[in-house]
Amino acid sequence: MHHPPTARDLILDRRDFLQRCGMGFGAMALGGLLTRESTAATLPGNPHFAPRAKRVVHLFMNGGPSQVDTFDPKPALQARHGQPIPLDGLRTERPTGTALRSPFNFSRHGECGLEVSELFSHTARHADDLCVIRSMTADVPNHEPSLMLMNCGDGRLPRPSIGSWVTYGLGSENDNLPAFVSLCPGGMPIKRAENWRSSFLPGSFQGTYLDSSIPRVEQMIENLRNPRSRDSRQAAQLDLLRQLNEEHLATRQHDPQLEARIRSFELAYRMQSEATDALDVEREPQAIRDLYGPGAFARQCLMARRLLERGVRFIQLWHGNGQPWDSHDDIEDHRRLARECDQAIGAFLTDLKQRGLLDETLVLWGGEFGRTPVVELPQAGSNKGVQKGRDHNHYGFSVWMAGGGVKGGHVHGATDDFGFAAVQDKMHVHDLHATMLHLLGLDHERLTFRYSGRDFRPTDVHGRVVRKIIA
Amino acid sequence: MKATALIQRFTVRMSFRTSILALAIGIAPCFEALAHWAYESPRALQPAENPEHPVDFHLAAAWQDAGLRPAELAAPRRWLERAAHLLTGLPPSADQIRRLEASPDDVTWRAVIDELLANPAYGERWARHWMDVARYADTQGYNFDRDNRYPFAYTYRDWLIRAFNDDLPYERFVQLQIAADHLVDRPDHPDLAALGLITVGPRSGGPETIDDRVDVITRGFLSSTVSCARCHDHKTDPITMGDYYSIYSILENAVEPGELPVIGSAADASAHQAYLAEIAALQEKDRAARQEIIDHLKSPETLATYLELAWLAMEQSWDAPKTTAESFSRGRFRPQAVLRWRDFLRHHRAPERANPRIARWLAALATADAPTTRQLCLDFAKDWTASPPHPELAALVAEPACPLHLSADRAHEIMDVEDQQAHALRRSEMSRVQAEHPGSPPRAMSLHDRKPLLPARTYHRGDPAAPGPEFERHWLGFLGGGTFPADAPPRLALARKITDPANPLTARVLVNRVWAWHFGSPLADPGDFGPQESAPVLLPLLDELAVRFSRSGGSLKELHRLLLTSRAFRLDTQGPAENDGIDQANTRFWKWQRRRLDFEIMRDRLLFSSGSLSTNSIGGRSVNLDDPNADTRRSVYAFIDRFALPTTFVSFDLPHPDHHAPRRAETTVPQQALWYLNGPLILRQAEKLAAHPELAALTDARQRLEWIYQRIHRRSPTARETAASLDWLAKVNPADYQPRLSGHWRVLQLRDDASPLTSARPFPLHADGVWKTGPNLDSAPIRWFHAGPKGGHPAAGHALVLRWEALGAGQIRLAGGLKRTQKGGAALHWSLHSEAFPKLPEGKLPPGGSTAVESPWIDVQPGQSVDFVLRAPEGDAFASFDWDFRIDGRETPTSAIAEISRLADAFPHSDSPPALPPAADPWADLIQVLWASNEFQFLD
Repeated sequence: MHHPPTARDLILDRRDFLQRCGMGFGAMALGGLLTRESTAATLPGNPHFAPRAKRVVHLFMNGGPSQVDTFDPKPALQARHGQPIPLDGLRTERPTGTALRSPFNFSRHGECGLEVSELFSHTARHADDLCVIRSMTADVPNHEPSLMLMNCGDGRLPRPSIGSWVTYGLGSENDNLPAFVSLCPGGMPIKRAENWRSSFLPGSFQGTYLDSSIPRVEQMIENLRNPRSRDSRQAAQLDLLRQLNEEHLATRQHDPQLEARIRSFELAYRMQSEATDALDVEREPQAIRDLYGPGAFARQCLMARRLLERGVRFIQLWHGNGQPWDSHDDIEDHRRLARECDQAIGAFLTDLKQRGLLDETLVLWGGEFGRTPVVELPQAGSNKGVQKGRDHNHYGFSVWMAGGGVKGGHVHGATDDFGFAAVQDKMHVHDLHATMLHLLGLDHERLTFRYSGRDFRPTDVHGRVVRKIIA
Repeated sequence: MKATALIQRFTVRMSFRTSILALAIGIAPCFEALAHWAYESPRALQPAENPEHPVDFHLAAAWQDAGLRPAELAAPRRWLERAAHLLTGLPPSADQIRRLEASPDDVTWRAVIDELLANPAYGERWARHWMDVARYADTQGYNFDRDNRYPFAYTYRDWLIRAFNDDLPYERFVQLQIAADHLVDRPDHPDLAALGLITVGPRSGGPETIDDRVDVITRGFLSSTVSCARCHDHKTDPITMGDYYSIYSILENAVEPGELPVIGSAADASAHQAYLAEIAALQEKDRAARQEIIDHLKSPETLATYLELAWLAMEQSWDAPKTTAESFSRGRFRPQAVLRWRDFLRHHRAPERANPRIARWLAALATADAPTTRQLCLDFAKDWTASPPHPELAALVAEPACPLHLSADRAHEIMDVEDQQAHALRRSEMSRVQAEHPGSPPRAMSLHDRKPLLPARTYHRGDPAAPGPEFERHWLGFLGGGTFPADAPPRLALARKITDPANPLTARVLVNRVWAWHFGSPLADPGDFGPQESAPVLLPLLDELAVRFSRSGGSLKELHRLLLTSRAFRLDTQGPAENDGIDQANTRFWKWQRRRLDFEIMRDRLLFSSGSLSTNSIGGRSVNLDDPNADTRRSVYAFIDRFALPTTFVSFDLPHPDHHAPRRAETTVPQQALWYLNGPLILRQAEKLAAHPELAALTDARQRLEWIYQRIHRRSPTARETAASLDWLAKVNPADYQPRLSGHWRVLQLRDDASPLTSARPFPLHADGVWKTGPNLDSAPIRWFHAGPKGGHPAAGHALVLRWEALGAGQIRLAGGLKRTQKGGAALHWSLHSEAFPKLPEGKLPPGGSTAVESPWIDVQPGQSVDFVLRAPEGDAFASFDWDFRIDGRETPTSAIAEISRLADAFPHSDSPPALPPAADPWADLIQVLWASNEFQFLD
């Protein structure tokens, strides 16, 4: 039986020690010391079976975008506006009232005739590439546990993020860049770094957070630039370091720890310019920058494409700090939010396609849950005096995927007549994770890590691969 | 008998298929579980008459079995480096080195070990080890947007330091951390801080917090994964849900006091009075806010509305959301108070009680119009609140369920969301004062038991919403089980069970940890001593150490002496090459395993060698390690935010404090190298050491090198090292040590816009953040003419000149934008100029327009400049503008681009040029290299 890797393997096994150097920010190809082939098939760093996707980009609409205003049109809701609708025991986080129609028009797009609201007209141009899942479900209508569930597969307990699991399972493709990057402009989403934590996996699998609104790359990554030294001076300094380290090594028997550390300085030196290069969107031609449009989200989409081209494994693009899509007060706010990201998402898909990257990149769009089709009622401390917003809803919501082996122009599952609860082909977040991992060539039941006497896996004891959405 | 019960339990739990399998192969699995090595008492196998050192005795046996030959002894200097760093986290003293090198005998060696153990730095080092076990952090994790700090976590850390330094017997060490409140004789006893083991963990909801506490105790002291039995009996170990929920129940009953006990006096006694005044003010603010809520409920005008809402809620059967919405639509009425009135009135209208006053009120309301309703409710409210109340209501007012019974201290019962938010902010403020005020005294993160105790229940599948029947708490079944003795509170009884000399795990678990902290890897997996782990190869050694540790009364210092006086501790890092074919991973410790210093030792050692570290101030509040002022503090005092763990800690493998960490991972990632190359701490410390007066007094390069080597490596450089270093110093390019490209902004004016730019002069006045020609813009000599960080106003016939002057050489470009903020007026003219570049962009800016401005790359030398000039030749009406400029720079056309200066951040407030930064010192670079070198990082 395959013995799942344990913390001890990661720490004691020499070959693995070298491999560990190859994870996290700046993998190390250790020349003669390590070849990728030396990695046994059962160790992390290799897929379990042939992957359809090599990389993931998660466009995270944090706060919870409303399904009935974006990708799940509900004529019955429009018809029953202002009237009570049967809730069938569905409880919302806050007081809610009658049906609230969507103020946005839906139309059909592409050969598949996918219905998308006017909010996402640029995204809709790629209708034939989108696989919309209208039957997502989560566990509770609160942001924090739902973010944890979507990102880490457990609403309550501190578990590693899916990005950490994926980089643990597949390793890195680029020696000089982080394998897992989380970009968010102007701060962090709520739950902050817990959204990309490695938890009990080694720290090198943790996501690297970058504030994409910072114009200077050297301020985005800690210690990336020396504020005082010139490049040529640092190069000379490294020459001396190498000489002294080689003196030290020469009087000792072969020791991979010492050699790995020597090598890590050379990598770090190279990373200084390569990371700067990868994240500097100013280097893109004007036509490409115009395609993505203005704004922070466009900027980070462009960064994401540059990172993908350089082999970064898992990228999260957060809409903004806090929880921007949390339109409790007025659903009209969705218009502004969509305007901030739709053009860039459309351009991103166009750009990936024209570069042949979409086939092996799995793009996921969505929030931690959706919103109620009924109006949220006012109460002290929130949405004073207006009744135009929607509350949280975990009973049914929409996400879409594109590229990476999913069916294009496809709709999976359905919610009830009003868009409240998933009723057909329900897909829990665990199922989404299992399916994403499957597309990456990872069996969610075999991707395990031994910790605290137990083999943990990203989907705990849940999750099933939804084959209906795989092309 | 006990064994039989265990077999039964274990067999019953097995699935049918497994049971058949078990029968088919005999009941081997059950016996295997029972005969598990870790569940049997350790035995010392070394014959009493054998004089050999027990560590070496057992290792020799293992080497012989495997055919290994041990390494030779290392040089005495190596022993000392190991002992000093491992025991104290700091280098040995020059005197210790000299003495041991002069006489490397047992007497001297023991004397040096004793000195190291007597150094208070020992407690700091070993407290940090234990903080990994205890998942120590200074914050509780995610807490919405409120202050998430534990202001007094540090008192637990300081207690650990004292406990190690005092060599507290392990039994006491364990018991205090679990049940100090039951063991101390006064409410302000400093030992209460020991309970931090339980309380400094993450907080993520009641059951999760308790689960974390079960885990830290059972894995921390017993290396047993009891937490796995939360939702079902353990899949592989004989641990049942009953075991888990017995301990869970004990910890569920341990609650934190509302006010943490003060256990000492404030570090700054003079500030204590000020602190007390500030706290009193905050308490008063809180009381007033609560009183306001109660007054609102009890004053007749507002009470009338509450009563009316309660009546409507009763008549129209409102649910909670409807009540919330309706209450809110009337203004700020607390829904919880409405619901209380509704229930109270409903209760007293019931036919069997039928209060006549209530009945009359209800009857009148039934037919009333709106103004009458209002009046009826107001009258009714006055009857309730009159003193004395209306005779028919007097008895009701006296009932505890009457909403009028609420007082300020119970105001939280009816707080709405906004009240709760305000309340949380007040608490947060209180917590901030306690954490930061210099007069705030230390407090223990203490616990006490609920009275009465809640009974133990299992939760079906771990779901708190599905509690099972009550059961009697019992000790862990796999360690003998049985109910806890009734003569002690359950938590103390649990602590005694853990420290019971008959407990086969406790001593083993501890000596295994200590072994690993000294020798680099453990004898058994510190994360799990359960039946999935087969007996360790060196079990006899583990057991011998456990037995001797217990015999010594649980003295950790005695254990250190035992381990450090072994030959094994003093072996060389290299041994016979043929061993590699047998045990390359050195699992039998036939040589000393070289290893990298952890982050704390590395940082402390660096700061020690630079002379910054203060080693005589033990304990105190946690400090932010990014703050240069923290360079005097040892790393053990770092403020650890489990919610936003600093990237340095992540890069350097500090275990995440959300979990108990059985051991640290050890990774080599480029972020670590970046820390050595570019990190602010190493850069400022290198400059500091390079400027040391003793070094400055030496002029000869060899002498200087010798001084630096002694300081950092405490040895002389070898001939080759000297040659390499001197050669490197001789070859450095002086240009590399000139200041990096920098410069400064100037805001100038030309009185005549046809004059040459060289005649531009400063504005006569800088005030209110802008450059101008007189105090008031509308009456200044040149009206409206001014410039500030965000924008300004040009003047017809004059020119506004924004100049950036270079202080170094390189390539720069000026980039940014200009925007007109008003619609009217005529076009403005702008242009760029530089003596280093003949023709630069220019343009016109119509009213309301905006434009991007960007120069090409310009080669500049120190003193050269680029000018942005703005004129208003067509008139200056409505000519206000916003601007935003920056200077990008690069050393050469191929090197990386960096932003050098942004006008908004570096806007000049005077026209005198800033001092040129001093040239850098190649010796500082050399010092930095020595700190970054492998020799400095590894313990040989």
